[in-house]
Amino acid sequence: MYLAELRLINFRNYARLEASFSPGLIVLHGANAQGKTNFLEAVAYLATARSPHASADRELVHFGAREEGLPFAHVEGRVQRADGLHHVRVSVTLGEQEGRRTQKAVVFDGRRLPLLEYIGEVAVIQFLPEDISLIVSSPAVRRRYLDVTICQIDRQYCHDLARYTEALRQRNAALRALQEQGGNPEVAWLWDEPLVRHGSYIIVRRRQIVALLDELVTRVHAELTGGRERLRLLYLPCLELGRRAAHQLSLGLRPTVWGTGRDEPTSLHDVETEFGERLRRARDEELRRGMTLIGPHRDDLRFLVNARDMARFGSRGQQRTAALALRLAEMALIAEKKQDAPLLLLDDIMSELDAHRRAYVGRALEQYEQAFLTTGDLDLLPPSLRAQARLVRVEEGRLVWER
Amino acid sequence: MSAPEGALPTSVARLIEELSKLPGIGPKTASRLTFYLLRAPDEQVNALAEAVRALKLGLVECERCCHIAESSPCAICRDEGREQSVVCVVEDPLDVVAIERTGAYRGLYHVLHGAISPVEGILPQDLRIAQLIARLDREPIREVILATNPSLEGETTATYIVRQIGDRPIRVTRLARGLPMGGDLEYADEMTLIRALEGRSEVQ
Repeated sequence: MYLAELRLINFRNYARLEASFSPGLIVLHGANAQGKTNFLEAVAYLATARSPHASADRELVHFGAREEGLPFAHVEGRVQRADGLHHVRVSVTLGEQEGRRTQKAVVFDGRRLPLLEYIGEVAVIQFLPEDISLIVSSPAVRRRYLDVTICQIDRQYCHDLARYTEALRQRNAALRALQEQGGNPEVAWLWDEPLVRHGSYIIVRRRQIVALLDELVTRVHAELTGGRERLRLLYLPCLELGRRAAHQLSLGLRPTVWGTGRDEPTSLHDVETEFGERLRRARDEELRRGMTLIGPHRDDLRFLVNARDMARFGSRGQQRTAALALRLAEMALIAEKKQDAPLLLLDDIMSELDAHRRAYVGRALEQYEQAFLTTGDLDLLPPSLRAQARLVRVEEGRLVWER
Repeated sequence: MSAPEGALPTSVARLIEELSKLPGIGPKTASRLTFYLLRAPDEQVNALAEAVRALKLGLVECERCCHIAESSPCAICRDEGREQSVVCVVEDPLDVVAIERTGAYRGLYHVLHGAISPVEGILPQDLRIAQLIARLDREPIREVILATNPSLEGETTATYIVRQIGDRPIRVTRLARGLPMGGDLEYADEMTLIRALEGRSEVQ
């Protein structure tokens, strides 16, 4: 798919913007703080109704908007998909006064949709400078990565995730109250049923998707490193993360952890049974600690290069390469699942890569349906890529087409 | 958005402030309502004031079904023409109104006054669940229809009630979930469709 038109009103430093785009590579360059990243953020926001950078939607609204009496931001676009041209508008409206809720609305092809019904209509892959945190940061970052990726291809997952999160919140609140004030623990165990039902689907889906990503990432990574290194991606579910898995990881054996082999099918029913069982066994401990200790909210991913854990033993360069390979794998996964190429957004990633990896990324982009790439330095682009790219200079919230 | 001191007479400022405490009403709507009332005929303003004042006077909770009423037992519970062996359990008084509006239900009700939600500090003992169980042991009830909302909290509350009913010889049913009438299949959200498929029924 490709973005054919984009219209911004009061988004970040773009007071007004209207632009049309053709397929192919579009390179946005220019000095810092002119709006290159904000532009990519707007496209990401159009596709996901979530900002990769802002912690609250209100931050997205142009600072002058309130004085103008228009306390809202609009991101509107037309996206050409394999099945035709679609129109999307995402708008954020600030509350009348401090403390009032910021409202967000998504209108897709003329119909207002709940967020959960919209996710996945426009697929996007974002390469961000901070992607290395996928490897080295906390498990929560990796779970979020998995969730965002799977939500784009499976709406059922989105629903189950929302329900699971809600059930978990209720169960934790009940456990905390029991820890502080005592009472009948039945009030906590009541949430086991929805927790297990929605959580099991999450576990099964994560397991399948990680297995697919693992295959793709191994291939991409081998090409990036000239075949010298072998990257594996492992799913470490909280369930079944028993002594066996930890033991094998520490010995550096070829991992056969639950969730890697695709030849051991696990039915939803088996996971539900196991999940319910583990929850029942954890009850005393949960009452003591006042929180839910079992479930996919404690899952993690592991990146192994030649069987060594990247988070702990990888060099900075290896970690960066692993993160890049993961994004490229994600790109292939989503294109295959959706039977349509997702939009690519690459935020200033060339400066972090050596010439060999830049050339590889360049080749991947040359064949790609549409990609937006920002850079502070055009010389970092491989010459053949630069030759076919459309160049846009970004200047104080305006786009200047150069070619 | 409150007016500067002295810009408005105290009585006007006070009404704006009180109205803006209501759900769904911001300071702008509150000001608009206030100035509307200022220009409205005296009778209308007095009728509103009287209605607000009388709202909580003489209002009781029915000792049997916990619905809000002017006297206890409430009009529905006093109606001997109603089916006395069926109880429909709902979260809020407005749910009773919704079901009554259909005219299709002739049994009794039980109002829980909420759903279990530890996040909001609402536990089973804060709801009228014990009263429901006591009713089941006292009255000749043969069927309980669980009509809590199809939300996570509503479902969980229903589960809790099922467990409390235990092995009493009572038929327990749940409202069907599915497609709204007059809806277009194409536009139904996926969850609704999945639920409707799960709850499909035999065609006679």
